[in-house]
Amino acid sequence: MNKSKSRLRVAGALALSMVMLSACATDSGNEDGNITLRLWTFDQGNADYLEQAVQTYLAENPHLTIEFQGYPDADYVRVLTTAWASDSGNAPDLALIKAYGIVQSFIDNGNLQKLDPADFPELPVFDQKALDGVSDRNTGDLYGIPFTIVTGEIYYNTDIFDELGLTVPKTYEEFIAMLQKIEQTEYVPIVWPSGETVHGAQAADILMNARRGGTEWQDRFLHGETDATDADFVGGLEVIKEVSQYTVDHPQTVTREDALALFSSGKAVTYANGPWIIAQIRRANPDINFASFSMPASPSWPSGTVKPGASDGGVTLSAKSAHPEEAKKLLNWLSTNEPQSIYVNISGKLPARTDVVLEDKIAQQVFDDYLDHGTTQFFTVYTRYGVPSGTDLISEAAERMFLGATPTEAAKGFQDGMDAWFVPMKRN
Amino acid sequence: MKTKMAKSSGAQLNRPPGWLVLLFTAPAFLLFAIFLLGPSISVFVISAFEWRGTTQVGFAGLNNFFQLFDRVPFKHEIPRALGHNLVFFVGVFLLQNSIGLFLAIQLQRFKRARRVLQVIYTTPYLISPLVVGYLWLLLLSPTFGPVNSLLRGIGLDQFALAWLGDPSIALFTVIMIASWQWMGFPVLLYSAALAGMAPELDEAARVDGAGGMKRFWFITLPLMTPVVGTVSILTFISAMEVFPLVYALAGPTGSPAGATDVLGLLFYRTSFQTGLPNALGLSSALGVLMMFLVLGGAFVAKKIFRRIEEGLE
Repeated sequence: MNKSKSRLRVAGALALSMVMLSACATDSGNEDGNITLRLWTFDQGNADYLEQAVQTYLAENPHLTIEFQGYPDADYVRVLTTAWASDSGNAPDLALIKAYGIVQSFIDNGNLQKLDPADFPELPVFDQKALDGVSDRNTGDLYGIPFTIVTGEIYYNTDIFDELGLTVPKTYEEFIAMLQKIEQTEYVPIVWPSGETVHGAQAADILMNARRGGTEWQDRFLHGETDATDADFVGGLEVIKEVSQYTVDHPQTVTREDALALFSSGKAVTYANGPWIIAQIRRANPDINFASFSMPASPSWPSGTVKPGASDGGVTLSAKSAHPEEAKKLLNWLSTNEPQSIYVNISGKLPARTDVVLEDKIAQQVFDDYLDHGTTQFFTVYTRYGVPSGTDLISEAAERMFLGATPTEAAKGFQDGMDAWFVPMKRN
Repeated sequence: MKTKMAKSSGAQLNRPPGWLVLLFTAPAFLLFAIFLLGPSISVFVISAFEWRGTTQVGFAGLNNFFQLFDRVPFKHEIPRALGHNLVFFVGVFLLQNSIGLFLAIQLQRFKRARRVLQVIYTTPYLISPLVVGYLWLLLLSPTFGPVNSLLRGIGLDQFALAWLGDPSIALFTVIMIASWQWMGFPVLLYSAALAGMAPELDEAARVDGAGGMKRFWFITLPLMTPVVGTVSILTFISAMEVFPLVYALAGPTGSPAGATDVLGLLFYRTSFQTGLPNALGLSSALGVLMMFLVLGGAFVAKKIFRRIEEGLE
């Protein structure tokens, strides 16, 4: 009897210690006042950049520990959704989330804490498009602090330009003449990841944005005053079709790796893509000399030359954070120039703050161009709130044109898809 | 009477007690319940509700299922993807059952090299379909791929095609790659079945003057029917669930222009890429549909092969 009682006591003590241990494992604060915040990001690289950017803050706040965790981009939304839904105690206090449709889904789910602009005095220095990307599209409320933006431009090999006697084209007509001249040589005139959905959509925006009519057309489309079957959108698709004559055969098969290899190896002369490619080109070929220009417009087009840009997401605050004040304080510091400068200069991305100076000259040139004639990317920003998404649709429209469809047919396919969910806004 | 009793007691002696049966089957049943039965039941439950992210917002009944047939893009993409799954099944079924059986019969003749060749044929089956897909994507790339370079190098320029970029041949390219990868499995099954056949039957037919083809059609093939049935049903299940190989070769949208889109890709897009508030409910409904398709198809196929077997007896 005594034996069984003592066994029960041992079992009870073990169970109690297990409960206490598990409580310690999930509680991110303790009696010493030390606090642990968890910050998750998509891509381990982003976690490393953020960790380097907050070193000063950690030195000034010795009671604080930040656990950085990066997840593969493809799994991130699922992992984050599950973590915030499970209430396991291991969910992040802060999370870097991609902009627009993705952050909106977390806002709609009630996972994020609304930020009061009055608490963030540095906000006026941010690019408005970057802030829009992490705001509720229905109410305009802010839910994150952006770090980077993405743009779209055409990179060119300066050595081959010199060799062929080419200059940066100022108009679309000069651009086509340049491609024709390159076609007469052994080089591929232009490449982009035309076989991939998101990158294909981004390249479509680079090539057709000005022909379609830039911001003014987008505004009319969003308010239901025109649609994708109009002459300007079809004209934009005609630009893609015309330019695709100067790329490799079967453009619908070109992957990111193919396009990068073609450009960095010096086989292709120009490359339509975003600023993240700068570091990748340098890694692939440290000796390559290159620069960038914005896709030039024709004088006959409804818009002049524009550089489409968009928010790349931002750091958001969990609605269930156990330390909301500490997390908000950190978020406030993250909005200042120092961490933002460190982050973009290490990562090679473009800043969301307009006063950040970039060490990379090509990236600074791209950013200056964006500040000079930037516009909002259409497909990434406005057409990813429903199914089928505009990025899938424009990518499929381009693929269909590569395979022989006319721009009018491709435009109709795009509009039919958008009609499934898109509801125009009302003008105030 | 004595004989009956002896038989009965013998049967009782051979039959293990119930608690022992339960004890030995419990671990397997537990794993089955946790990893298969539980998720299968939960997907039914999830599909019957409306979701906002991972928060349940109300009972939907069959509404999620209706949406799959009413709503763009699902009402266009489900029939297209299902059609591709069925073409995929037919293609792989024909290739596996013809080439697989042919290889297995040839292996019976090469007794020395049999083991080595079986290992060679089976190796692709043991590699992850994602790895196989990405390898073939590189091999078939029109820009850098060695396959087209080789074809051009030997003067066969007209065969240097956009294997995965031309909608008219992309699905067939995927079928060829899947058949190549999975071939080892039917070869193993057919080899085992051939090895288990009584050689006297073949020898008797030979003595009676039957040629090679006659012996195959009237002796070997009928005896192989149960294995052909097993291979076909497993091929059907694999074809209806195919995902990683197609994802690696054609991306999440089944490019070019949806020419290789299958139900697995559609399920993945609906679950993880649409960003729809009710993605969980819709994708679960699609999962339930796929489950019924697989179960129903497998049931019908089993019935058909059972009838064929009965006809041969």
